[in-house]
Amino acid sequence: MQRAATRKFSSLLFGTSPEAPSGVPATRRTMLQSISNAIDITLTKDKTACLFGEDIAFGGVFRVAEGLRQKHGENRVFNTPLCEQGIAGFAIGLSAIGITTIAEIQFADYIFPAFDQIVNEAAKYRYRSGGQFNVGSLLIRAPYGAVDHGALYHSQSPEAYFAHTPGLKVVIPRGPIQAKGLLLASIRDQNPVLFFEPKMLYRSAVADVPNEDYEIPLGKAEILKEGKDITLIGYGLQLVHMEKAMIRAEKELKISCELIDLRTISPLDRETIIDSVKKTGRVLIAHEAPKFGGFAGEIATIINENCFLHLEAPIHRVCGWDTPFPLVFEKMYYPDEHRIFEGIKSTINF
Amino acid sequence: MLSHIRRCFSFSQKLTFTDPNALKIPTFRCIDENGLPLKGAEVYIDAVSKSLLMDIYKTMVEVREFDTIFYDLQRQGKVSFYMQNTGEEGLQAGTAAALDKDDWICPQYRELGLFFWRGFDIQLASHQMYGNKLDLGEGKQMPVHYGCNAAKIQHVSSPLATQIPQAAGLGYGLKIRGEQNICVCFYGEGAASEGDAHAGLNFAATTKAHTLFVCRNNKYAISTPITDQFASDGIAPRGVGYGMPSIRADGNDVFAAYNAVKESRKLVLSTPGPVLLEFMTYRVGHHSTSDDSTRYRTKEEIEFYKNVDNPILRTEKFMMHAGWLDFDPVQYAKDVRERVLKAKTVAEHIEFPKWTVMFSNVYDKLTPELERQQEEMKKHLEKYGDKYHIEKHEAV
Ligand SMILES: Cc1ncc(C[n+]2csc(CCOP(=O)(O)OP(=O)(O)O)c2C)c(N)n1
Repeated sequence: MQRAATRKFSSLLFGTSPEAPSGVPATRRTMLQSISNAIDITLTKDKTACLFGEDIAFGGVFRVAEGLRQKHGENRVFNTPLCEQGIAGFAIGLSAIGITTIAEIQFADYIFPAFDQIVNEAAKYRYRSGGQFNVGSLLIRAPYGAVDHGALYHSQSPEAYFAHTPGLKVVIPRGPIQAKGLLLASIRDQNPVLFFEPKMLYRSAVADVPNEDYEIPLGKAEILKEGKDITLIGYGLQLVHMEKAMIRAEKELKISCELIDLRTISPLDRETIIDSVKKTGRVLIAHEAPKFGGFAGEIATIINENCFLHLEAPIHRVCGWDTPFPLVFEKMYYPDEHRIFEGIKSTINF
Repeated sequence: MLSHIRRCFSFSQKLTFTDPNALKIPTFRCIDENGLPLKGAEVYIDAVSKSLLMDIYKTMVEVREFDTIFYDLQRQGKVSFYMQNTGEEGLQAGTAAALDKDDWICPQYRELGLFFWRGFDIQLASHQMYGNKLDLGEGKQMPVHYGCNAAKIQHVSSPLATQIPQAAGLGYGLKIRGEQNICVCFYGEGAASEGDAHAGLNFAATTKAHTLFVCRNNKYAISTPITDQFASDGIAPRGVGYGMPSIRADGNDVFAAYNAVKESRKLVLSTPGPVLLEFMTYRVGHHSTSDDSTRYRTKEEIEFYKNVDNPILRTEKFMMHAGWLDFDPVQYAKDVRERVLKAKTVAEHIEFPKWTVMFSNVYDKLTPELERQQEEMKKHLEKYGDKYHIEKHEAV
């Protein structure tokens, strides 16, 4: 899990968001350090907030919690036994009496033993009790997605399973500045939130992250670049590949693309998507997860229901193939700039 | 039914709690850390002949040398990942030797010795490390995720503890088919905390499955020490809690390992019903090549298990006392090392599987949609093949 930092700077992706403070003191931070900083702010301000998970005491396998136990004490930053259903259930219990709870699942691939606790319990805690109880102070973080050598069980993108569950919010940051603002908003949101962190960007994404406490609102997409010929919709790591494809498409196809980072998968910012597609008439959606039943299908349906008469080409999805994530074929598996470029081209030439 | 249910429990007028330490299970051991036979263990030591001990030794050394070479290769960036078995070779080889060749094995991932013993050899393991076209797993999983149907070893998979209830089912299947064989399930003391571990033990106990649970208590789950993993007397008492005979043995003593497994196996078949065996051992290496264990444990601790309570060294010392050490361990290791290096060289020059293999074995045959996706990829590769190093894959 310790990999040499290959720093790829992209001012478009890892630059700021309109909701983040500007012109304030900032520190150059990786996404990992930015997430750590948001947790540190939470533990500092909220004296009963807890951070826990497998191997958290020594800092976590990705080192997100580095130094936090020393600073905030072993009662609030601690190891759990190796049991994801235990982590989720324990976290729900803490949140049920209002304690701010940040639980780590070591890899999103290992969230499935906790599925019942998250989907049947956390998601329905409020609804089933007529609003008497809730676990709004619960946040579950998990690194997700490709790392280029993770194969079947260190690469998955499980967002669609959770987005299908009413009562949960699902958030995915794309860069260090967004990670901090979205994480602080997710922790304070009065609903259980799943926060999936693109682990490939942990060390490679770097930005000047404002030092102060700030939030980026949930349920709000961000237009990274305006354009008029095609709308490109993505989130997390996929935006890196989409940006490369976009640069090539704008040059070679002489078009202008609009690039949207959803930031929150659920609840989804329908307006931003609909307005954009009405303007461009063409759309491509990308994600790493398999295509069938993937989240792109939901977005496509919303576009179809709301923009039908504006569409000039079929909605195009570029996704992981409908197979598990296979080691020696990884680069062929997930959508990359070449597949996305070809997708843009066929949509434009339709 | 009523009397049956009532008979299960008895009454008392004493308001007493059962002390959590009431069941302190000792560790069965035959030789000490200097390889000297312990009093009372003669019968167990006699059960291991010189030639059997040599076979056990051979497997341990193969594992150690394979570990050393592939760990180094990962450090040099030649393979993407590795997990060492260092410190646990004894329980692996000792267990392997005590089983029948038709017993099934459900592994976790740190059980390479079982593979070697059963003919999934250094060459096959090397193919898996490179994910080449001779990897039985078709290059799909990360390194060290071995599996071999011919050797009756189910495939390693990363999600922890999933094999535990599966082993209960497999062992039950062996019983209802009337086979005099068992299923051996390996797992770490960390994985023992998963819900699946509890489910597996309870299922095996209630169905009286032909299952032997072997927990490798190597003291760490990545960085998490056993003190954060459980508050009980280790894992062995859990078997008792679920109603099965349970034993704790010294995993770094090949005589203890061999005899404990032999007896456990007999008990599983004669009861019939599951047994839990907890091996006390130590993970001498880092958790994996992604880990640096000096961040969370001391050098002294590691050194003790590397240089003193080490299964290979203890076996060598025993051989010396017994007058069985009629070879040079250094030369022996060198020869094994040569074999590993040769196998590695063969494996690294073999191409990856055909790219179409990506779509195979999702189902028994390609679905129409997968055929369509494969066709889409084919067109894409015709244009962009060089971007994916298609030349490194076997031609379609
Ligand atoms: C369900 C699940 N959760 C977390 C992990 C990540 N993980 C891989 S190995 C490991 C520690 C396992 O420790 P243990 O079972 O004691 O076996 P050991 O590595 O010590 O042999 C963890 C937490 C995983 N693979 N699967």
